Amino acid sequence: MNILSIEKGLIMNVKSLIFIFLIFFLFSCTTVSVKYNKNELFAYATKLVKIGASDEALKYYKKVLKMNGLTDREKARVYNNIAVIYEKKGDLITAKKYYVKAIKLSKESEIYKNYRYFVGIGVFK
Amino acid sequence: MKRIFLFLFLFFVGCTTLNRVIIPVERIHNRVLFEQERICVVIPFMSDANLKRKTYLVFNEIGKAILPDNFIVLPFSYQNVDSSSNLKNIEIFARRVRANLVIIPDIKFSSYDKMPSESIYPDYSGVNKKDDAGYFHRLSISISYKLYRVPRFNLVKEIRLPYRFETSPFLKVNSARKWDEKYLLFAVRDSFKKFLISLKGVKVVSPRVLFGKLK
Repeated sequence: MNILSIEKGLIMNVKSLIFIFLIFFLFSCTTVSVKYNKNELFAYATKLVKIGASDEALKYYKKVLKMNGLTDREKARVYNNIAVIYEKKGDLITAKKYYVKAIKLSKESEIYKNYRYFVGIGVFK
Repeated sequence: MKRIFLFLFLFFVGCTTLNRVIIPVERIHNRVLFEQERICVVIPFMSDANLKRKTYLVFNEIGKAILPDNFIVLPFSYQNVDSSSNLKNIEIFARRVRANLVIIPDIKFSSYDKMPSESIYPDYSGVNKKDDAGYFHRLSISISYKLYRVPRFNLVKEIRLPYRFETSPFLKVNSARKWDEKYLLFAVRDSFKKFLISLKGVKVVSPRVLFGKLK
């Protein structure tokens, strides 16, 4: 009787261990952090803007800004895209803030063109 | 060699344009009136009390239709000032009705009658009854609106619209006055509508460039 009960107990313990292991395994699977490349993240965010998910895109652009190793030109491009999203949403004060930041960092013609339209120069031609 | 250059050129153009996304952005430009701003209109100075009341009704009707949240409709008896009053009185009036923008209209009109003569087509000189002879009746109207911001009474916007109406020669002399009133109110309605729409600004859709790649 005693041996049987010990065996039963062991089987139960093994089962519970397997169960705990499975739970830990599944939990670890869900919390694996995938490290994205900044270029991929930026391109993905732009695609999101294209399909109309601007709020989601904004989140990713801000993630890109927090990444290390961004050059001034890259930062300016991110600022430009953020400014355009804010302008589209109607938050003009924040949009202007980001446009100015972009212009300070880069002299790309597209950023200047966007800012010209933002200010209203050349709209009524 | 040419083919290689063409290929390189197309490759370069393709690379530069594929990295850009153009999206349209809708913006309102030249906007004068903002949300929660209150606007009121002063009755124009007119000698005819009936016409003055009708003009007041037209202003309220158009104002409430175009700017339902901003336009203040006041009872006619409440308006103790008109456009001929001095600015100080108008300012007091605006403060009393809690308006931060005041429109001061100015309506001037003059009419002109001319009996057709033999030298001008159509010739009515031979007609016996004078009433049926037909007058050329011309009405010239000049309407101006001035928009002031109340605390300092700064002129924000001014618009001046001229109108000119001419009857056909069959107009009877007695009906000229009625005709004048009809077309004057038409001009007031049209000009006030244009003025209020201009305060709301113009919607402009312009393109914005989004970068598709960081490098």
